[in-house]
Amino acid sequence: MEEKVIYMLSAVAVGWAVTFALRALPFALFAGRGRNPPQGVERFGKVVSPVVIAGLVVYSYSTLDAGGGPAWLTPWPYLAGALTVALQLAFRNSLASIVAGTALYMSLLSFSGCSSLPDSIELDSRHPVLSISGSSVKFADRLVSFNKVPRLLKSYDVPYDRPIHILAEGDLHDLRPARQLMAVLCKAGYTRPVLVRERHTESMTVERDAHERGMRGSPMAPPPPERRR
Amino acid sequence: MLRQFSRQGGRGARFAVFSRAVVDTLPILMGYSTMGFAAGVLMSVESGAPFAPLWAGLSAFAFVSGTLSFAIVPALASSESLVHIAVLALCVNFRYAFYGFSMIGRWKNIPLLQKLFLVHSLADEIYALDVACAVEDPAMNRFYCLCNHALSVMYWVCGTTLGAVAGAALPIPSKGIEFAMVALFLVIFTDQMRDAWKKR
Repeated sequence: MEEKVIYMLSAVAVGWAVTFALRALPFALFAGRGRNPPQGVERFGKVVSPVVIAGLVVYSYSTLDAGGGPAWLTPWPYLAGALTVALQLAFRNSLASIVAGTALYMSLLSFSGCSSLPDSIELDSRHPVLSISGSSVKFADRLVSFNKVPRLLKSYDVPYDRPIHILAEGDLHDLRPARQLMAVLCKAGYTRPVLVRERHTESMTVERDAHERGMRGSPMAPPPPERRR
Repeated sequence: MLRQFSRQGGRGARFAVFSRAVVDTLPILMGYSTMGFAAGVLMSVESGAPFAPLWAGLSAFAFVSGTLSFAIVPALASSESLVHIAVLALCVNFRYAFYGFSMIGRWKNIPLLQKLFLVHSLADEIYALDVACAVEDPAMNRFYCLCNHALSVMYWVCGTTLGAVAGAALPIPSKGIEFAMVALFLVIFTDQMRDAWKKR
């Protein structure tokens, strides 16, 4: 918790410092000396800025995640992007374009069944559902934040007393992220997180939302303790 | 400077400029409070940070940049290095380095603190209003810029904080909400292309 706070503080400070430095650059360069900026500078900016933004469009497309795989392999982000650009060209209302595009993308994702997670997970120490490398956590091979992990486990109806294996990948010089994840799990009621270095054998499959599918009470997923809901 | 104030009618003129800024920033109120709300929801849902509303408000005030507020969330969620965040900020806000050039002349001889605040909050829509400002008297023009910046920043910070509070409290469906950032870049790019096209 404390580390995250310090990290957030420094992240905000870094973001501010870079942004402010960019904004102050023209003033630092030209204000003091009473010189006027050369004509070329503004023209340069007008050429470079769209190029940078175009790069950002490509980059942000590549980071979109439609569950099992990257979203840029599906048509959904392109349809939503086309709607955004078309609305912006027609009405020049940035907010409306962004909201409409995002709403279309969100509904396409949910209707296409591009669920962001698999239907079932293996709670198997050979294929641990959780893995940690450096300071990033993966749930079913999907990068997630620490605090999301308990919610995800809950959505699969994982019993609280079930050992949850966390695969430590790479060399663990810094144990703090792993400890933080285990603390998060313990705090949420999952009392038996286990940090493993290698994959072992012992298998169990848990269906997602087994409760809603009437799977509750099956031998695969024993009824969870009282505090569950 | 003092003489100009009294010639213009002193406090009355200032009030007139202020109310003009209030009216002119109404579109910004609509845009920033709702965009901020979206950024706040995203931050509280995705970033995995404790006390999300606090961070949302603080970062909104520190960045005064919707682009960075959206773009930083995935980086925060996976605890990327500070260098990564610095490069990210440099890329998404590169365009801000060119806004100041047209303001150098206008913002000469301003008290340092006011000038720092003006530079700190030189974001897209705020800059557009500054440029379009038709107040001719230089002192009043600067006062208009100050009002514009202060009001817009207030809308932005309030919108973001409220969004983060709502995002933490309500079960807002969030799958795919990260597309808002892509859409924001697309919108900025579309506008830049249109401007470039028009100038031909």
